[in-house]
Amino acid sequence: MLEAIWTGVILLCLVMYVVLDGYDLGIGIASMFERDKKRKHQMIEAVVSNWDGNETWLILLAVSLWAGFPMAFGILLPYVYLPGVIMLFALIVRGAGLELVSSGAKGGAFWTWMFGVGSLVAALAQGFMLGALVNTVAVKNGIYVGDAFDFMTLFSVIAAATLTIVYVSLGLGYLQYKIKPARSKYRSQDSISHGRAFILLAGVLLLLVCVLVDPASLLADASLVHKAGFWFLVALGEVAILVAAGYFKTKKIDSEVYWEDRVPFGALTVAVVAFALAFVVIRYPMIVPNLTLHEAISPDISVNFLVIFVAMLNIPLVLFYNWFSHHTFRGTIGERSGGTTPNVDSEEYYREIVKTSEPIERMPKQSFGRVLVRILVDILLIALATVLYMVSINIFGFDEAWHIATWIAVVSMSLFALGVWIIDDRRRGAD
Amino acid sequence: MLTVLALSRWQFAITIIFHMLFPAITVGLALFLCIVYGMYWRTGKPLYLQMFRFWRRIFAVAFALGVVAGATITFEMGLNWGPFAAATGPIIGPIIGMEVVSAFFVEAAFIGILLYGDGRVKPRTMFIATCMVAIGTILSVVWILAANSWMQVPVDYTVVNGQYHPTDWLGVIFNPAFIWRMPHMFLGVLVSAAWFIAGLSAYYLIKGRAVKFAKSSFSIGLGIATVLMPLQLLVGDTIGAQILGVYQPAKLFAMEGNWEAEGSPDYNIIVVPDQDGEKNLVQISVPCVGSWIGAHDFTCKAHTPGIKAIPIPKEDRPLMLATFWGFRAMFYASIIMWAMAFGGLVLRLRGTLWKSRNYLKFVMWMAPVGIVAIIGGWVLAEMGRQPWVVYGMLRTSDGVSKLATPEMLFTVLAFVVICVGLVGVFIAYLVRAMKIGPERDAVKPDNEVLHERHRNTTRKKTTKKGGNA
Repeated sequence: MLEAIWTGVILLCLVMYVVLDGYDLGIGIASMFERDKKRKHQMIEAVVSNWDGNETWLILLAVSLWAGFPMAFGILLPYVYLPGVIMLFALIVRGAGLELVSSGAKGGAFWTWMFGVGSLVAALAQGFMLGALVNTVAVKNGIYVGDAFDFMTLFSVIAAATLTIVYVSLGLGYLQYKIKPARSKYRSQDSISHGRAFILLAGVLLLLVCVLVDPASLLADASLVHKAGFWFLVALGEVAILVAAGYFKTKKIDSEVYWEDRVPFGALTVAVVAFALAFVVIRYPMIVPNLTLHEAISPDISVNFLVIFVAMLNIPLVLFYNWFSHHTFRGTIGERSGGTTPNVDSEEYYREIVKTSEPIERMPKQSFGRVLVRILVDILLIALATVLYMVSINIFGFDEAWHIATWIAVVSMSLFALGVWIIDDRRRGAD
Repeated sequence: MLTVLALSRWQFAITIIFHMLFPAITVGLALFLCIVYGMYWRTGKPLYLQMFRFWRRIFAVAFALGVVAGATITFEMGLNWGPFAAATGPIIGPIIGMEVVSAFFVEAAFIGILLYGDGRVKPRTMFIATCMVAIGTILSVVWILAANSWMQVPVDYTVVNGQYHPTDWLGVIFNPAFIWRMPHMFLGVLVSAAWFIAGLSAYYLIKGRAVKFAKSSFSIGLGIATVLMPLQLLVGDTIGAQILGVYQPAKLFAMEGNWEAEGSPDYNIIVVPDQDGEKNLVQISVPCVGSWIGAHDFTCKAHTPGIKAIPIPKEDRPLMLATFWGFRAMFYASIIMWAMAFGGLVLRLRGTLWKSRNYLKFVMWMAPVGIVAIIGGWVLAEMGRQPWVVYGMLRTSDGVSKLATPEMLFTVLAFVVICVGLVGVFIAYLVRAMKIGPERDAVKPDNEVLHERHRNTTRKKTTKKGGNA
């Protein structure tokens, strides 16, 4: 029971991650092929306010696996070491690039490009990691002992391509209702016009993956009920993909955003859920062919803690945070909202600054001798205090009472500092 | 030298130091932003909004880098330290899980509103979002310290088939090391952010730019640092005596730089140890100060024992070079911070703080000093624990994944390039943001939408004040 609940949580993380970060990785990939600068900017704006929350699902996915099934985590991650680390490189570069672009750092074009490349590499690497799960893993005494490229098979290559195309479809589906179409000097909305092709390609590739899983030994030993369930869910997913493609229209310029525009993203979400469940149906409780969830699960005391404190108490809140953040930034992204931010790269701006700055007050010139005397007096005072402290310790001995006295002295120093700070601020505020 | 173990350790060290650079300033900055926005919300003074906007620019990039670097650490636990992850998963996993749901998600969801919510949300929502981000960062400190403290002082567990199972969650989370290390780290990040803020503001005071803004920021930074430094001294001293002294004497002795068992009452200032030869190649020390700092004894009788006093094999000793210098980096940085904090206090009392150009210049250059102290402290904590990853229980060499040397070499080099590159990019961004300055964030009361809206929504009408800077 505990195991099933916790597997459900991990599945939730997986689906949430694929859908949410899927759309922002997909938008990143699509941004590389977008020639219209204004649109490119809108694409970044569509991602920048929520990417952090979306990516956190990946961390929760990893940590849920670690906490609930530590053995699986400890074996599988070394197994997918190279795609795993490359994904990390990509996510670092991508996140940094995104935030630097939107904070107006120098080299915006370069960082936009890095955002795109990072998204593509991260998507491919994740596909390799997922695809690698059909293989038997070399394990000895609960430790991964295989080679660096064990994860690399024809199947994982196909899985990588599939996941990437799914992400792009999600990204374009999301943009469909996030961006108001605008006049562009390039052919009608460029990247978005390929959306339908991407969605259909995703459908074909997903079907291919499902067929290929069969010879990969999984379907062979499954019962008839499981097989029927699997193909039912696959069919459901494919229908959802067709619906998404059907509703994905190249919009007329200056048209409004209608509810139909939300259908592609919604239908793709249904498809992701259906395919994820399909794999659970035929695989549960197997993680990789030679490791099951039963073997890998944490002791009850840990899983209890996880189910109560993480799943029941916090995951509803987490879903609320996610909703709240998307809700705050709901609506379409139009032309860049005209701010009053001055152009900080202009000469004018700096001339203005010079005008407003005021020369700092200076201390009256003091003779070197006076300064020296002052410093010497300070040092002498500190030395005197130290000697006093030392002598008193030697008289009274360093016992508990003295310890408390020291604490009180130090804390009162802190309070004294607080007092001086407040009084000084008051005085400064007055004039 | 280039074993998988060594490479894995280097990789972890590089990525975690890279990560730590950012939380060292963002936790404090988040709290600072929360306070400043709260002041703006209550008083409606445009100065506070200007402060909020300027510091938010720096916070935005530092926070994003901290997030992506932090995600790396989580995965490395499994990628590079698979057997460790499998063995400690039932204990460390749920704690980090709590960190993800109660800290990361809170930060991640509200950071978007904090950064891009201007004009979209009411000032009240903005204030709440800012506070939520601050709370998230603080909870993150709490959970990660709970996990690390258990690795330092493992308690309340049983070992089943080589796996650590918790027996009492409260005991695991509030373990003896956590009680003192958590406040230590919390004060550390606040102090380091305080010096960072004061240091950057000092630049504008020296240049005479945006003086009102700079004085307010500087005053808060210096004020917080001065108030917290004495408390930090007490907490840090207690950790030395009650955690290291009781649970990890090897770390304590290694950080003082003595080899011989009888030790010495002197205090080592500079030491270049020779780990194999069991002696110091270079040793400069001050007589008697060691017994004062170590045992609070001024008679020069108390000796700080050397590492040989602990009956463990030679190869099981922590690396003295890293342990000693990790501690010294923290300690020397804290001395500078003390001197400057109380120097500032004296200047405030004399009323010459804003005219003391040399003092301000020095504070400007010590903007990163708190970060240095924090990283030094972590080097001490982690290197001093070696050769154990879970102290006394699980060896680091038993926790490492069986990877191949070439792949490790590739990823270590790539991480070096990425981390060093991004630190460079961050510094360049910081310098540029400093040069552009807070002037662009100055709020002009006549065209400031948010400000207007705020004035209309608050019941307490405040008198209109002119722009600043």
